Amino acid sequence: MTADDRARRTRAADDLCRSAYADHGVPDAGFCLIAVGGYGRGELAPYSDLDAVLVHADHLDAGDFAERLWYPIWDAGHRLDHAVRSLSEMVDAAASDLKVALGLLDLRHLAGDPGLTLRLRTTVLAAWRRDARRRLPRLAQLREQRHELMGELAHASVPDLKEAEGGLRDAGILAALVATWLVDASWPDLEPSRQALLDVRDEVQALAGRPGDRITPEMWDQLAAPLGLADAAAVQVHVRALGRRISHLSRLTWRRVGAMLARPTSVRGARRPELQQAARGVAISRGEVVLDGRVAPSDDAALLLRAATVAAERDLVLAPATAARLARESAPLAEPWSHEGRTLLVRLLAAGRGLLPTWETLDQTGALRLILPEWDRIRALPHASVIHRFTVDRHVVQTCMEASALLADVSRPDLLVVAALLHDIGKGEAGDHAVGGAKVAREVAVRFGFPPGDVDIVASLVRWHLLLAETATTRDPQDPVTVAMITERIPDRVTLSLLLALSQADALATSTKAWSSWRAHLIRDLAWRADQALADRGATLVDDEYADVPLPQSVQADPDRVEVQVVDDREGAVIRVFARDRVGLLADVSAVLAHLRVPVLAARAWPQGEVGVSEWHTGEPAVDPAVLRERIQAEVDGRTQVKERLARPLGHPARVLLRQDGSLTATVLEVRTPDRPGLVHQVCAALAGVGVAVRSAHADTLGPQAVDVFYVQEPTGVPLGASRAAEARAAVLTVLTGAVVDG
Amino acid sequence: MKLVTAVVKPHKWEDVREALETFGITGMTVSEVSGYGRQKGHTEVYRGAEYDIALVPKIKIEIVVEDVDADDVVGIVVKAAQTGRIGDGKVWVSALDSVVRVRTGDRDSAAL
Repeated sequence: MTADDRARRTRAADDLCRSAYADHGVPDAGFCLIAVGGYGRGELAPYSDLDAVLVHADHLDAGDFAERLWYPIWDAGHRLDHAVRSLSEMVDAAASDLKVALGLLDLRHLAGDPGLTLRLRTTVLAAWRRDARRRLPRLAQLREQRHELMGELAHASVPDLKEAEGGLRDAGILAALVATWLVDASWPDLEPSRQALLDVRDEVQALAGRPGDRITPEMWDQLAAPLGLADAAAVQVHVRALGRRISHLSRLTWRRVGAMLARPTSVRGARRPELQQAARGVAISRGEVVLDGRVAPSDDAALLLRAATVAAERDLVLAPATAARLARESAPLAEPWSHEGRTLLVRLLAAGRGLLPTWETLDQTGALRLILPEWDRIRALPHASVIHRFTVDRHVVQTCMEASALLADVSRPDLLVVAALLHDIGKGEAGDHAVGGAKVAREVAVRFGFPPGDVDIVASLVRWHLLLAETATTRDPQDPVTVAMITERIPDRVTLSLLLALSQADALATSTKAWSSWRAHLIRDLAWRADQALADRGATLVDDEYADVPLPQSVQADPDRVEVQVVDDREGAVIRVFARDRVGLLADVSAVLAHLRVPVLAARAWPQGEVGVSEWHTGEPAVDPAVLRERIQAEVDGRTQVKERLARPLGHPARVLLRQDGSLTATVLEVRTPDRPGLVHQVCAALAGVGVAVRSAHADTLGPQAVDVFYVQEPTGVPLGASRAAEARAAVLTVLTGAVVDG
Repeated sequence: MKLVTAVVKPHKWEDVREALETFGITGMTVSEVSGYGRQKGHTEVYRGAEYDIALVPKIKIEIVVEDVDADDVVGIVVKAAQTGRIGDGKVWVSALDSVVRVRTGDRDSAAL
């Protein structure tokens, strides 16, 4: 069934109404018969109600025409939703009831006095525009309540084509929003999807033989032939994709409405767009992320990811026109991806709440193909199991969002979110999706530029992402054989902790039941037993490794002299600092870098005899070594106290672990906390404050999360005792979180 | 009639069900429960996250049977659920006054 059928049905109904009007002697002046709602739009489904209203001028009385008018329509077998109202009653009803107002926006003249219809229409439309700012918040509220009740068309197991999120009602409301003249929506994007959804609705009614808009499970199969699709799965993909498209446009338009309502009504000054710089080539304009025009997408392959990351991290709209332009014009990222591309992707995936709308925009504009062409394998793919609340692709995005809350649980948050993105990439193919998925994940991880060891971890996480959950409920966790089943497949503790976090994120994204406290307990218990078994195998004592570098002549001659070398590399620059080693040296150097706002991506520090050497990888290519040398020398000599002037942001969540499997000669502290400027300095200063020497430091920014490992010693060169280690840990926690921690 | 209630380890649930079905038991009520007995629980710290294992996850199975079958059913459950380790669970039998099938109103034996 198509638009033609709907038009034909509408014409037949119109004829019936017109002849009823003519036959029953309703006067032509001061009276009119109008169609409203779906009938007004001329989109009658096989079992639609006819919504018709007989309107009369205020000074006239409808008399008994009305009674007579409706009979022939009833007699013809139509379900009629009728009313008789004066013009002012109509206007009042529209003013007090949003649903009436929405229905009247689609009113269409059927018979009688066309002047009266025109007057009604202009009055109603003018009132809608006038009162929009006042009424839209209520409309938004009704919409949210309806979504809460009906779920998403893209995911609900028994979707309602009309009322679900992304359904026909949402599409209709978009038209009403556009009618306010406050926002615009892309009609060429919306209308084909809306028409296609109407086609489905008509077939659903034809199949059911009654009014209704729900697709019950047995209908998917029956709908295939009338819709010209191959099978039930194809119908699902078709309907879900339509729902997703309308949802996307609807959410986008509503976010614009929200931004518009938040702005003051009177705009003073020039009405030109204000651009607020957010990242290289990326700006924010009126709450949307756009390009600032200084960088062309064809010149900067990472621009797409940078724009998406800004949008996701700040939970702003990635302007669809911007995304579409990036999709069209962006140069593909050189393979393997650069550090910047990889970091941006991880930050995007770890952004939490803001990931969903941004990812949807990337998906809908085709920009996602540039990042992950494999996405097409799972796009709008229904899950085989009923326990899932989402389609596969939406589930994957949800898994990343759940994983973003677990970043501090693992030492490799970057691998966690990438595995979350790829864990179900093998779905939709024959065979075990974890096996096929691991193969795809390996290729993707190589393309993202991860080193071989990390690629192995990602592939292993995808291959075994169901292992803990399946084993925990079906095997005896107290049996050593069960534990061995885990440790044979996951032979190291880092991957095991990642697997536990992935299991949790995956389960939470599946349904709340899948991570009940009962199941969580079984899974955690099994992971804990496997972890103990791996620990008992003997801790792999890895000492910090560093290769000596040649010391500059000046430092060899005078160890109290500070020397700075800057080497530009592909990703920015490496700053190498030499100075006499002592407790607090790293705190001084990191304070100067933080004060100069040099962003630190990674840092390494180690001793070479009397000299402490540190390397700082920074995204900032333009650092003047002479200036930096002078500043650091001044700080080291105590001529400046930059560290006293640094703001100390507190209250960040942080986890500080004393690693048992670290070193024989030093105590190993691992710090996990959201990355921010000056972080390395904060930790080094805290350690210096309790008289602990940092022998070496390995600071990494993994997406939004910093994972910094410090090999620390007493100034005499021995590891810390248990109570000193606890003291150091407490000092670091206190400086990061602001909370006083008991050792 | 008797109500046989069994609390067993989660991974033993499939074995217990199979054994009962072989015996001819066709219906039962199963729930995910948590509790503790002599094994007690304690607190573990794993990867920095402390979790309370005082309450151990178990599966609870409830079956209504004829008086004559009660001992057999208990034996079957015990045999199927046994690992010999602490925390294997418990089975207990209680007397029932009456049973009604909701659909038909059948009572007692006819309702089983």
